[in-house]
Amino acid sequence: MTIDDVLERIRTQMNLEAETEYELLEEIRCHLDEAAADARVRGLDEDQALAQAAARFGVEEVGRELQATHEGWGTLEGIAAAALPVLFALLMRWLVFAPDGTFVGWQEMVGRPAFWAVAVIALLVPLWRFPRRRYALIGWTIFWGLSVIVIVGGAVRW
Amino acid sequence: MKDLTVIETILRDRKNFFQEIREGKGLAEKMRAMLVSSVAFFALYGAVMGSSHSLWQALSSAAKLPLLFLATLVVCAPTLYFFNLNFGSNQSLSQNVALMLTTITVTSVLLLSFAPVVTFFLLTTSQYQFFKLLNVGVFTISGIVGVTFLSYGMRIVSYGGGESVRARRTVVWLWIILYAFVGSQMAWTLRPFVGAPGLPFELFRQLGGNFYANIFASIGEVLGFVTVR
Repeated sequence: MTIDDVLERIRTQMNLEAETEYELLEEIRCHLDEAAADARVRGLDEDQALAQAAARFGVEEVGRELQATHEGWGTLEGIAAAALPVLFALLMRWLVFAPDGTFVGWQEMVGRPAFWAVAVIALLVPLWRFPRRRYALIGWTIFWGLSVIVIVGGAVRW
Repeated sequence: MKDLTVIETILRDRKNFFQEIREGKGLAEKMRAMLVSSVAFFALYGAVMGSSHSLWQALSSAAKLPLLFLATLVVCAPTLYFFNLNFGSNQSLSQNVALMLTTITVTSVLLLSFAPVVTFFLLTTSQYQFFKLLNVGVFTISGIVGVTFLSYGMRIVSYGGGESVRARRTVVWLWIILYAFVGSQMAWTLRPFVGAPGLPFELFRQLGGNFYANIFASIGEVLGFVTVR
């Protein structure tokens, strides 16, 4: 039995995104390596050390627990990446600019509490919860950029 | 937040999800999770649609879009149940509703995935008819994918039941046609969702005309043949 065999047994208990599975299995590999090294120091041979480390881990249980812990979060990140930029672009449109969507008084935008409240929340939500937050932040930046260009430029009336 | 994780189960582990519906396992929890997620996603997409007009239209569409799908579900659920019953199914009404909610949830998450695209066009174009047709296209694609889930789910949920494969397929397709007709008429009744520029905000518009005639007129205007008033 090798570490790869143990990891494969754990992997069969999971059905997560490939990237998440890879990260989790690499972390387990490190723990197994350490546990096997400890066992070797205690005088066990290579196979026994690994078998003991795997038994301590509880291969099937670990796979099921990891599945239960991480299930759904991959899709939630996708939902956040789609929803957050759209939600904050709409909030900006209706809370920051004039209610009729025109650029009247846009210069006072930076002085409005609503602008800063939306901006801070929009920045903090992805930073707070989502590991792959950069996509949501970039999407959010693009929509805010477009909103400002269209409003300030006045090329298109909303 | 936990309710939203149902999306991953439906999309990634659909066979197991439908098998649990067949066994009636965790039906109430599943239905609640699907209801919460689909209402949230429809509301956001509705807000994007209405934002082309005014804040009131955005809020109104955010409330009306979930209502459109849920009302269509309520209207069509008994038909699916009795159609299935007629062909020897042993599924309960709750199981049928759970299947329909799966369709609606898949449709809603696909609409959500299109929301950034529609927001982009909302910000960069002011042509009402184009924006309306863009939304019709997005709804069509999302709806078709949603009902293919129903077809797949029905195969699994009805597996081992009394009905034949052919009868089951007929039931599903008849019901999908009915669902499309009821849905489009419901959308027409609850309109406007986008809001015509130049017209003041209206919660509901007067009845008259029909969905299909309006779409053909919009296509005509986008192509430059007619002007829709």
